[in-house]
Amino acid sequence: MTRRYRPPPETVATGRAYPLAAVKKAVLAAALAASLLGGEVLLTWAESLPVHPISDQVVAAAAFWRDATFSVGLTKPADLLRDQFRRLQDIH
Amino acid sequence: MLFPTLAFGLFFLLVFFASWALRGHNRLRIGLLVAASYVFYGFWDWRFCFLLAGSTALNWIAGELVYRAEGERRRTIVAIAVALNLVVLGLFKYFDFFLLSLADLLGSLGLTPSLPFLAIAVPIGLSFFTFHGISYVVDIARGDLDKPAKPLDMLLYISFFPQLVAGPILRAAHFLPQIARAPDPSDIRATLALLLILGGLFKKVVVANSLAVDLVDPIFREPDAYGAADLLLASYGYALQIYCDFSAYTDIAIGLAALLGYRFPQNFDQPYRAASLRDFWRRWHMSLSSWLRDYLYIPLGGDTGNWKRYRNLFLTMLLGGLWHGAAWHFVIWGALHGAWLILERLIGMDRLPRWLGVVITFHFVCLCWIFFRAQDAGMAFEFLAGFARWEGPSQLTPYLAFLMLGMAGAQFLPRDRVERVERALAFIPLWLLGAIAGIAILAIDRMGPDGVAPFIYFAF
Repeated sequence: MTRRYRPPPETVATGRAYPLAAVKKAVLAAALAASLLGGEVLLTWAESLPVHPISDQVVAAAAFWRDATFSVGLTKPADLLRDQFRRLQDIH
Repeated sequence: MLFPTLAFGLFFLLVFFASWALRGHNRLRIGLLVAASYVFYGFWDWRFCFLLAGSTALNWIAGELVYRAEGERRRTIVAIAVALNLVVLGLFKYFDFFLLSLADLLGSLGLTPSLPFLAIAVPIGLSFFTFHGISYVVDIARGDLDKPAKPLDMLLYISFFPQLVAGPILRAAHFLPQIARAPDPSDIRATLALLLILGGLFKKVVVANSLAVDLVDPIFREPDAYGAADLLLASYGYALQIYCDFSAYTDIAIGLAALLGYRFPQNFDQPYRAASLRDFWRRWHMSLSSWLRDYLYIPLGGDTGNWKRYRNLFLTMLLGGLWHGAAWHFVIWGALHGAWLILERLIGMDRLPRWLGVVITFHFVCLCWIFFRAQDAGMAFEFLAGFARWEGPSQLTPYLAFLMLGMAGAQFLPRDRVERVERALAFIPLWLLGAIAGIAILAIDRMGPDGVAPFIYFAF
């Protein structure tokens, strides 16, 4: 007994369609916003890379970026959120 | 390279922009996506890229032969191709399991022969790309695919990185036509894609990882150190953890594929609101259950004959259990599901009030998850024996209770909840939604426990 193939339901089938130019801007905006506020995360990631002359440069660039964003207070929201969540998780 | 990592984020950014830059040259674009997929897979162990390429070549050649053959010869080629796929799967995944079981059996008879154990790590995603290969050959034989795939299309179908290691399982007849035609750059379902990615990251990083680290793992590691209340909470916790973990992976995969212009099938549909186990399997890992139905249950005979259909159902679930891992606790998990599905048909589960069906089904599924999660069958029985030790909960915190209640409640939200959110956000320009998504990704990272745990289904 065989059964003819029926296409499965697709999760995004009902979504609103956007043109590529708009999607590119959105993806860039996401990357920019995350990197502006996530200097600390970038540095932690860079420091976890295997030791290599290139990764040394990546670490130096990430440290510069973290210091620059820290000096204008952009790393504060993420740090604050982390502290508050740790406090919440520790309530017994 | 795991989805919720910065390394993957950078990788995806590169692939996204490079692939759309080649939108006017579909063959080049496919080549780029294949190369990216092999880089992604090679991050775990580059040697397994040869296995992935070998599996692709085997099934592509089989597809060509099947397409040109007819009648009995066609059936023979399909049988050989499926058997070869299963041999590869069996060699890596089950060879040592069967030898170990044989050694145990012989040991109980006082014999201690030296058996040739392979002791090879199971390649990540092996079952998933094997299923894709089998789907390709069988779909050609059944006529669901009009013609065999071009080699490059076949390479992408088997290796496409968003689904490569944990699904959803793509049917050849569904995905190959999408690869062959260039994605439409004016039709990218971006808001839904972003919502799926964010929701998936939240479920994985915040919910699944927190439940695993603070509740499930410690209790399943030492079930005899805990009383009934903790064991019950751990079994509920694992039910929610595995749902959040696995559905997160597929949601992210669906979202990433959508940003690249491809459509993946739905894989989860609020499974814990199911009023019967049959209903559960229509909502849980839908791409696997439909695969098992079409490529195993129906070829076994499906619903024909009274006792035969029960046999087919039981065998399908038993093999589904074994697919998850070469261990007896997975076999028991599959057998329990098979037996309950038969029982439901015999007693007519659908006559029960819906709420009662939901409660019974959820608790039966939780019972089965104990076998699924335990390190081995012995630990699962130890876990169950612990329900006789009545002690109050010691591990539950307000935060974990909030996460568990929230995720359980989400099972009963409207089915079109994501679409509703999309409509509610329609007034926000997409670039601003993108910026908000970037901030949300960072926030999710900060809210989760330290470190990145692999997805549970990477092991299967």
